[in-house]
Amino acid sequence: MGISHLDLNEIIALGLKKGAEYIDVRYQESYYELVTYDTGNLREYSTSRIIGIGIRVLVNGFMGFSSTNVLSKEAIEEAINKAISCARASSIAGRKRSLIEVPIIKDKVTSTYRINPIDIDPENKVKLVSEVNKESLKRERIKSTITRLGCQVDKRIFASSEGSYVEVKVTSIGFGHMSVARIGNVMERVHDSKSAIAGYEFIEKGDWLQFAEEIDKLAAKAVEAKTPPAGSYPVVLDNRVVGLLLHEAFGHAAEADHIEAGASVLIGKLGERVASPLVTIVDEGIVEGGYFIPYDDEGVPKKRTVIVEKGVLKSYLYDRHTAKVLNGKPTGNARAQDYASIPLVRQTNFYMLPGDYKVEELFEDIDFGIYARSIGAGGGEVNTSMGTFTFNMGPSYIIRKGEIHELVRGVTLSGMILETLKEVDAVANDLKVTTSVFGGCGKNGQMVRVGDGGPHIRVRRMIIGGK
Amino acid sequence: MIEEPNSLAEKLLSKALKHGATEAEIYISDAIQYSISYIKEHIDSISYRRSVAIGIRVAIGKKIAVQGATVSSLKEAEEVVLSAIKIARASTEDPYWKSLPVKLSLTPTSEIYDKKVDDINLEELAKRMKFGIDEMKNVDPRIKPIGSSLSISKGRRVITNNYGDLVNEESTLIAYGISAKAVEAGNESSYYEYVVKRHIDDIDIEGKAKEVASTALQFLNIKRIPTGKYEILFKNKVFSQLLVTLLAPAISAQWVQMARSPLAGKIGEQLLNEELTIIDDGTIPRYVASRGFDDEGVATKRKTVFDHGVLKTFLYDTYTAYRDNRESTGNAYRRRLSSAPQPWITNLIVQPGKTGFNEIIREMKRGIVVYLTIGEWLSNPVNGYLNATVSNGLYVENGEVKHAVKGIAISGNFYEMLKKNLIMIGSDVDNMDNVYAPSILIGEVQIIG
Repeated sequence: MGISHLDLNEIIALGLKKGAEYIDVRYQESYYELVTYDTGNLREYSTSRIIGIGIRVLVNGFMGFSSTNVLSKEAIEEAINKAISCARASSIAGRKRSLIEVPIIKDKVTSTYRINPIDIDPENKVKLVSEVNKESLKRERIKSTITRLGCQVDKRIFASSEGSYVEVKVTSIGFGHMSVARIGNVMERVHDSKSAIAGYEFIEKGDWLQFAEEIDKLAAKAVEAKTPPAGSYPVVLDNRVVGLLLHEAFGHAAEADHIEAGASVLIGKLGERVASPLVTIVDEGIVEGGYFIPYDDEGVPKKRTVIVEKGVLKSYLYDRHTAKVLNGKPTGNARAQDYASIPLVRQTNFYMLPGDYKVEELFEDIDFGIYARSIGAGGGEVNTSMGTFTFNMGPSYIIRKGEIHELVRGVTLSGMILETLKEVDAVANDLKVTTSVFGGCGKNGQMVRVGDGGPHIRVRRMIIGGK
Repeated sequence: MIEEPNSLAEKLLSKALKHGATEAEIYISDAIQYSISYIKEHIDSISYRRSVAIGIRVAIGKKIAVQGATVSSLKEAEEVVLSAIKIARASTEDPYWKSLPVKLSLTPTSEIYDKKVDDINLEELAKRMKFGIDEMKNVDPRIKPIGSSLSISKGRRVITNNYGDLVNEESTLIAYGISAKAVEAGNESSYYEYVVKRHIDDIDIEGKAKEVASTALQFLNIKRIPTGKYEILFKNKVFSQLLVTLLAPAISAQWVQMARSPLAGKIGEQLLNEELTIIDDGTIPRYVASRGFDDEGVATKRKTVFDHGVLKTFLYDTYTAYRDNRESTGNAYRRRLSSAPQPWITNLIVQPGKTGFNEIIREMKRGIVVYLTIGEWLSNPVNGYLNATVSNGLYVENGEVKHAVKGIAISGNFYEMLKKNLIMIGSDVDNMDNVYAPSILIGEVQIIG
């Protein structure tokens, strides 16, 4: 199965012959496996496999796109025709596209792993997930549990009429656990997962019983916790919460397609102060703990892009088109969910660089505040043009007179993009970036894997939703 | 070319049974989609997608496996079947497994296929979208278009299993979104609308565009309001989103059986205000989740979930129904083709009240009309705790809109809101995807300004 190098070049040649002045073809072969135990029962051992091609053409400067997973000669030719007719239809009100010049690249990169997770006997995976799930149900107050093991092998080839031919294969794996605790009529859930760009060795070296036990204990404790008093307080954010904050409160607004559409509060802010001088934010394709993105889905190398340097906005995130029209430099941020989706401007691994503080020093000056924790956090959302963002926390702690006190639950944080990062008054030295094989970031209906994180930070004032 | 779906389904079924499956279910989806997207006033892209995919569920005794894949040939599809069987053998037994549905059938559901989609004219649609954008600008010089998108899909679903039946249905779905901002000296606001229908003529492209423009203007004058308790008028689509996040999981029999639903054990209880009747119905003509059969081939039907606030039933697929010794309610849903079916809402419908949207505003003493939120999907269905941040809202005092608000957080228990704090139900039903709800006015809601 699959398609050879020669085939992609044939598709490109045929596209050029049919009238495209530019054509790129993305081939994808992706395998995903998910073992799910739900409250003592194997609920799902599911696998999914997608194979297909996406074809993007420029005809007289107008773009058209088509995709097919039927890879017969006729179906591929039909897909080329459709892409070209879509480009022609665009000419009625389209805007000519020009792609900024990028180096022609021929490369093949594979993320490192020792043991291919697909080769592991399904029985071993079921046994591990089952054991963790069933043990968990024996714990006090725990009434419902979902335990998951997921792995993915994603192979993508990008080939263009300019001569680039880039193949990237990423193997990722992760383990997740969710538990619901109950006392009387009161229920609370906590979930967490750990993922890595690695093979099955990542699972073998982890202690997953202990991982689940910590989640269960937190859920059992959270169920009797109160919600914090609503209001606006100083907040210390842990590493992954910082990741969520940056991703939602800043990353999306820095995506150049929002800038081009006039839908971001960061328009016209290059060179201006948008955050405290302690804040430096980068977007980087390959970083310890993050997802693996050596090239984007336009075959452009994804290196480190400095977005905010000491509080000053330095660059947006670009694909080739937005880099050209907004006079930026290509940053390698064109990413597509899969072969059937048009690449959009997306973040890769978006994180804050560490500062000088020790983590414990962040708490010292706080009279009353919140220690916002990521275990059990659900994610967040932003409206880039209104400038509002929100995300929710896992069970978190009240800070009183510089010390961590009782657990609280139901904590949400919200704020305004242009205000919040200016309120950062301390950045710790403990950088951590993470990714997830169970989810990612959604935009216009496309989900892509991302990484995010940073050090612990302190924000002078954030809106806390509670009672 | 790949086989015709019915015959592919039958070949894969016999392959599965021949290689040791005691039960097998084949799901085939064959779909195409056209999309047009505008950025500001120009077409950004037009695209076409073709996909053929299969979902396989096999049982060997009580050991189950599910696989999903895009397939390009019969041979590829057969490999997926064999791989499912291999995984089923390695699985552990599910003591609650009884069988796949033994009878597949179809409730005749009308008007879910729009024939106009068969001869779609992309250029004409692109022109209509452009006309919508121009109309939007004509509403007011302060309006700047942000973007607009239209997608038109049509697809066929085929399901068969070893008990002998095969069901097959075609449907169409059209989605349109448009957004704009309003700009005046030092002030900026934005708004969007998203519409999903089965028929292309049910989407008023130009009308929606104008509505977005005039609504966006309302949010220019933003002021802060103090933290406190307010009346909240959730606009119909905002209420729909809250229902999907907080109620839909809680009425799934799977959530109930797995001890995650706050509604478990409460059938027959008055849980919501008696003014509230909520129905799940997969058979209504033209509704976006209407279909003849669910994702395991069981005929869809109409059920009253809350009758004047009293909880009447949960939603079942075959697996959860066997476990509770009853019949499936035709609510099996596959999140992905590779997922095991689980119960989920079809069309969830809240029965309207009698008061119009503007009339409700006139009745408000001190409150906020919520047009758009972010983060509402992060609310917690396990305990019914609602959290949302208002991105577009209007502050109302004594029946009059005073100014716009944004960035304020709303929280509280959703079930309390819908029981003792419910003040009024609107007559203005609209759908956000497959939830059809009116606007709803709630009292005593905590907000953080």
